[in-house]
Amino acid sequence: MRRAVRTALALALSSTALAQATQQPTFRTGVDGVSVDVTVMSGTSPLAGLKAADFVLLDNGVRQTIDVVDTQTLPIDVSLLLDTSASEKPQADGIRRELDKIEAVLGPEDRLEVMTIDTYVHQVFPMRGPSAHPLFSPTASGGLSSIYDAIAAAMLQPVLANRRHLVVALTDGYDTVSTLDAPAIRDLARRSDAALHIVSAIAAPTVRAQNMQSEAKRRPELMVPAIPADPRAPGPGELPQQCVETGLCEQWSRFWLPFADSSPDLLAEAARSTGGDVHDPGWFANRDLSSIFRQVFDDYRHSYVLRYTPANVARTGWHTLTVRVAAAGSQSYLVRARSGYAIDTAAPASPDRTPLWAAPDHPVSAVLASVVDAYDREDYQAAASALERANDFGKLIHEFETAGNPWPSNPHREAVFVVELAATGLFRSDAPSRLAASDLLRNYSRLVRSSGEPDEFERLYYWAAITAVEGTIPGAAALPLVETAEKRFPDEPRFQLAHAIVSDQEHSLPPYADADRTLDLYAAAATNPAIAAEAHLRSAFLLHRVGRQDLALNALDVMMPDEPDADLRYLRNLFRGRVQVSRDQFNAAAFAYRAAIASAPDAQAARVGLMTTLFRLGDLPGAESAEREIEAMRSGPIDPWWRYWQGDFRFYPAAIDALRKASR
Amino acid sequence: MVPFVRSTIALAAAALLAAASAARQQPVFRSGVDVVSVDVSVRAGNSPLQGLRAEDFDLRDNDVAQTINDISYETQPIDATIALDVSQSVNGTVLDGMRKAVEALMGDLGPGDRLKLFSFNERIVRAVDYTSDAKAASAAIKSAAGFGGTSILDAMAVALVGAHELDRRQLLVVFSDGRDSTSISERDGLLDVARRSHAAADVVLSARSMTGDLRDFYEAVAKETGGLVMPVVPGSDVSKAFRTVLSDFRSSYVLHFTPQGVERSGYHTLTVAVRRSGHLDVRARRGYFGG
Repeated sequence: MRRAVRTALALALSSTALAQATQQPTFRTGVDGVSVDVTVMSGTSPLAGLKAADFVLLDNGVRQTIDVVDTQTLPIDVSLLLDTSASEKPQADGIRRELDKIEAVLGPEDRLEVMTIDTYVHQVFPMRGPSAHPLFSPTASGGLSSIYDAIAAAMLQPVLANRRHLVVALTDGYDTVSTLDAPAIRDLARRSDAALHIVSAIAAPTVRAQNMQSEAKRRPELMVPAIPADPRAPGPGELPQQCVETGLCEQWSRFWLPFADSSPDLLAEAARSTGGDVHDPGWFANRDLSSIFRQVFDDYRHSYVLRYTPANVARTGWHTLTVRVAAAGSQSYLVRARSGYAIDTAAPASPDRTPLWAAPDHPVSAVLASVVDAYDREDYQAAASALERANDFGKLIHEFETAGNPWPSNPHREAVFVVELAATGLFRSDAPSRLAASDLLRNYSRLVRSSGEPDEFERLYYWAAITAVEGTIPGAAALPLVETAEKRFPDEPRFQLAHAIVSDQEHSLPPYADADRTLDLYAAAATNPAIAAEAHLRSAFLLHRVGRQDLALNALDVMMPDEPDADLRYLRNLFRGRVQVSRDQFNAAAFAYRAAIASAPDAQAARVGLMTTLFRLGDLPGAESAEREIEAMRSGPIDPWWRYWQGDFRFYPAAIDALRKASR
Repeated sequence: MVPFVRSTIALAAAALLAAASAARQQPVFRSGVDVVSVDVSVRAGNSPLQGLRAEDFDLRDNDVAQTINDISYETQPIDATIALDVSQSVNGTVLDGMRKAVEALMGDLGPGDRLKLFSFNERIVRAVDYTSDAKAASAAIKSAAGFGGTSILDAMAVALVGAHELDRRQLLVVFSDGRDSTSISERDGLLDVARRSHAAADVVLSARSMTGDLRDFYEAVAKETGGLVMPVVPGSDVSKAFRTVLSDFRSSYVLHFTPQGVERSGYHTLTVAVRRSGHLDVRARRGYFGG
């Protein structure tokens, strides 16, 4: 599952919005230029006083002329990430004192933001100058760590013109719940302008174990069954991996999936590719937070910024950088610089990073332009009509991805647009369109996630996306999306029910494999009053299909006859009719079908059920009367039965409407 | 159930038409005496065998030989009910082929014959009630657009129950890709309806859907009623399949008998044979329900 993130990242980095937030090899001098931070250490101290002539800089092996060397002149934006997942409850006063010391290190033009990391990323305070910051409010540790996501959130921030960005992450390196994985962080770092320094913290194993055990009890959905083929599985007489690392010795049958791809080497590679480094605890004489930070910050402040205009190299693609110091005695110097930078083929040539949408020649197709234009005016009917004119939907999506966010100042607007674009493509009759739409939704779902705790917009996003996807009856193909939503919002009952529904969709045809597991999911969902009625209804229909008619009747009986949801009321009676037919109780079936018709007079399926039941009973006048009524029916409301297999799709209009409102 | 979103089917006409004969049955109740009518198709090779008389047939009701009171050939008027799949899997080319097929079939109807037209996706719509107006039927198909799920079982049930006029021969022709997605009817239920119906059900199916249990099921429905399943392959002419169905139905014998020596109620198994030498293909419905 995590491997997919790399694809997502590659896609994300091709969009203008994220390109702004990642790699900026240009500065405003009228021509493309590249800035490179270079740290030169002599022993344990930064080496000062070097000039342009002292450096040798190769871009893809071609020596470049360095235009400018800046030292200590550019203000620094600092993102400080504190992994508290293996900590006891943070001591507010102690951290506040450390932050005061850190702010004292900053220059007057420098800025600082602080995030704490456990199960979620908490922004303690946003990027701001060294003025009084708000009181530090410690949060109880969730026990899990999303350090990868936190690093991504920090590294994706755009580096403002004439400023530098330093990311310092204090962590023991264990990530358990991030959406992104270590390879994704490595790839992202290569394209980020920020310098990443990772300070390894030594966590107390007992504290981490306690935190994780506590979290495991609170959120069992975040634990997964052990993988028998896992090469890390213990041999005879060996302790299991997670027992050694976390103390979770008694639960080998379930373990934290992220331990399967813990990759400290990749994190180190990520840091070094930005010109940063990994600092072992022993490197510092003083392990106070402020002391550690001072050491990293001083090194960074004293680094050089080399600026040059690339010559004799292709503009686009990956550029490998090599930086050396040519001055006398340089062999003993330690030189750190980023390993390279990338310019996407699709990136605009203009250094002002204007989205393609705003470019004077407006290079997007007429179809996409008209869709966006209509969408911009909130004329959704016109947008839908414009989309219908797209013959090659996959090409349209690719064009959208390349052009980037039409609303650069409002990422939420783009998120809604993505859902609606994907929802249209998912229902196209040709497989390539459906595939492109599915990819778009899956990839973008990684990006809508807020860096902090899940918020209402993210919840609405997942709900709209799930309702749309369920409409295509994808079965297990929708599980990654639903499971991600469940993890982000474990208390959202509709996501819990959605999990059961897509499982049911997966096995909707005989022989109904895995029916018991799906029934268990429905049973679990039925414990929540908000969704109990639908869970019982769907459970009943599955029981009917697997031949357990009496249990199906029992499940239908649990539903209240005065269920407020009219669709569920109708389906309850319709299914009761089917169950009674299967029990050869034709009179009872006819009664149930009549009740269904009474609750939904325009529904056709119940009339067909009544007609065939009466016909089989030998009531020919009754059957023929029902048949004449069916013949006389014209277009009317959608029979809820026709949408039964589309699960939550019936909520899609309301879900997308709510998402639209939330994006404004 | 299957997803609504399916790959578009390609359609064509009947290239695989078997040298078929079909037999049909209509239990008719007249003048206080129960009379059963049975359509019997007799073919020698690809051609219908004409000129048979009542004594040429061996008809058994629950294995009891019956006396045939009357026999008719191409004299009774026909009610043809056409049910056309206009679900998402049916694209414009197929719709155009269906329109031409219905026009061709109407051109072959006799002066007393009538046509009723249903279209169905998830919703069943009677597009044209019994008529001999070819233009009305054609216009109804032209206005159809392929979208939505497929309620083929429900559509067949409605058409079979609706084919109840006893003084006319009832033919049902269903054209579909065969994959049901939204019917409330179940297969067992539809088979029972077919046994009880007066109509002969001919099912014209896309060849690509003629696989496994799906083909077995539609063949079971057709056999119950004395009908046929006709697969069509991409690029062939649907009109030819429709005209063949009608021609085969029209050239069937209708045997009338008053059941003797059997219980009136319950299901009656029918067997029909022809007392002629040589290989003949004789088809009749497999039974009927007594009053």
